[in-house]
Amino acid sequence: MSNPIGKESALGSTIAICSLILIVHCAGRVAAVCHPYKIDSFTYSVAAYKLWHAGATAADLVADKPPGQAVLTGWCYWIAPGQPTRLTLVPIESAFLIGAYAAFFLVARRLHGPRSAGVLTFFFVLAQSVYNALDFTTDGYNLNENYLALPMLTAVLAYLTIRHATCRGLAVGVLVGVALLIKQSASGLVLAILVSELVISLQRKQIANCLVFSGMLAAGTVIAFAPVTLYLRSKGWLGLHVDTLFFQTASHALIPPWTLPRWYNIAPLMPAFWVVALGIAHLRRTTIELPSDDNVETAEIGNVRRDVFIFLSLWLVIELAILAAMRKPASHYYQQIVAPVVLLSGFGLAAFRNGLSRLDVATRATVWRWSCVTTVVLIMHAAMPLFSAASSRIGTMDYDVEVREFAARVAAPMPPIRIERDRGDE
Amino acid sequence: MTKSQLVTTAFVTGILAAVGALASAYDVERGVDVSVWAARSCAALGAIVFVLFSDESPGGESIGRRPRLLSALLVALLFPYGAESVAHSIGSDMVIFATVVAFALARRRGAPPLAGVVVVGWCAAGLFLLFCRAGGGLAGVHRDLTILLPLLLLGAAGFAKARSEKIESNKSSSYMLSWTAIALACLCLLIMGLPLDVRLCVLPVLWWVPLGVAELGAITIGSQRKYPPLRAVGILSTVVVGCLLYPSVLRWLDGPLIAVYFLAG
Repeated sequence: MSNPIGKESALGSTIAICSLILIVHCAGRVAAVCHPYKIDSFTYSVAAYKLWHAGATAADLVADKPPGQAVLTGWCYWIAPGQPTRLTLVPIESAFLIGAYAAFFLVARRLHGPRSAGVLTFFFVLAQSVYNALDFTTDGYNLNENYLALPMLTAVLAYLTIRHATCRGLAVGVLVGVALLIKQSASGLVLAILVSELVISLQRKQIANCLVFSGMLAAGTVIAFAPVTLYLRSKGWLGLHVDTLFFQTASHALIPPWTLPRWYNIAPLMPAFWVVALGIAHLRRTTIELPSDDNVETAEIGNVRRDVFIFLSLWLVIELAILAAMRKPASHYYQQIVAPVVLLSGFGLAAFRNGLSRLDVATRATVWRWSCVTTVVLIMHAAMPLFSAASSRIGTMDYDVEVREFAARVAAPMPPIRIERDRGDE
Repeated sequence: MTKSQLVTTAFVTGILAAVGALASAYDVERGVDVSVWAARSCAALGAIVFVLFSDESPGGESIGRRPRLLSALLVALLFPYGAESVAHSIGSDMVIFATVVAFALARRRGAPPLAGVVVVGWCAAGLFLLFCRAGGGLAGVHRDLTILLPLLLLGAAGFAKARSEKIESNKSSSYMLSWTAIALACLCLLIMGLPLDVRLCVLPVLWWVPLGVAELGAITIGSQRKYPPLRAVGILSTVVVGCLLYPSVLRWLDGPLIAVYFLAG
């Protein structure tokens, strides 16, 4: 028989978490859209507009990025009413982000259960919003990372959910192919998936499965690439764009001297780190039940959790390596590490909850109280700059200026980044 | 805590707050604005006395000398800097001082009737400041709250303890609980970016800071340290408080430097 009080409580928690997520998302979008710099948002929205209108040339593609984002978003200019501006893309960007939140929730629910998944999703949304809205090198609106999260997290979900190697490889391949079409930095996830699949296959002595999976992943990626590649080839832009893309990608990355990240780039992930610390603190008190041969189901669950842990750790290490290689100290690059960090923190949350359940009532109440208060304070510490930026920037938005500036940029010649490349050729 | 100890503590921590307030009242072009410095120091002193008044936990047991001393020290270090969004205004300092005086009077006369006046007056002052400052000074609000976060953490923990134990030893406890609840609700407005005065919001939460400090001490190094998970959480929370304190302590060090600069002529 179902418990109506429990159901009500679950419904209340769900509504509360969803409301918080929505509030943070809206604050993040306001802060990003009204950001004073307006660099990348114009670059990508103008490229998308030109690609979907007559008279586009190879020079209208963004030189250092694949054309996936322009293909996915440019159609909005056909159906949106009014003058074209970069604001036309607000709904589709939000749709991609909310889709990413949902995908993250599904991944977290699969790994850590529904109750932890809600909290982890809130951490994910908060960190994503803070990183892209409070970047001081560019504006966080219409960035590649905002579109990248959905296909990447859906690929992770497919990788963790589908059992059959062929189907899994194909699905993951198509999804990471879409992600790679948006930004080449999705290659970190591809590498993590391939390496973890290899490691797990070697442990289980199932190399054939790994080969099938890798082959199907490659096939899926080719399927995702095919339409855009054929389109570019039919226009005669493919060779030039691929050449420019590789040159620009190489010039973006180098191995700079290693430095500690700035505090404002750590603060958005502090709630997740706090949960990890709590988990570690309670791990000593928790008896880890190792799977025994007698209990096959428990052994299977234990193996799956271990495999997932290996995969997420690999993903995080690779993303950190990519982040360290970035030449520009941009906060939005950190968006790529949010998902693995927060998903890994779920293990800390599980250890904490497990440890908590073994304490007596009075001790549990005290631990719970201090943990909650500190978590809330750390969340406030991360969220306040975001809300402050949103409230101070919202008054600067002027629709007429947006229309004029967009028209001017559409009429303007190619961005300087390509001129430098051409000069280099000469 | 004896009366002389109370007075000595208030005096010493008051001096620390006044020295720290020099950095808060310093302007590159105009130097130290004496009226702002005096108002800021008065407000900080009021907050220190307010914290030192907090001598009883809801359970009825008396809070020790050390937690109250430590709380007063924290207030002296942090309170003068929670005013970036009202950098050249002394209105909110006066409101804080008046609130603390009204509270002291209310406590001397046995709380509830006057206590209601304090709460209503406090809310009215908050709303007044909200409407006065709407449209300006937004950027400093979140910075002010960030500075005061350690106090908020300790105060909220003490408040949560008082709430969870549901024991009211005297009339003022229940009234302090409701006042703090109003303050915590107002904090939501602050987080949303509304220009309320941050110190005014945090003021009622300060009442519970000694209780929070006492409990943190008990679970970290005191009577409850024998429970490892509890102690671990205590140590971790202490580390978080320390990290949050770091920028304010650095800022406080500017105060003595300014004082030395002016004393040296």
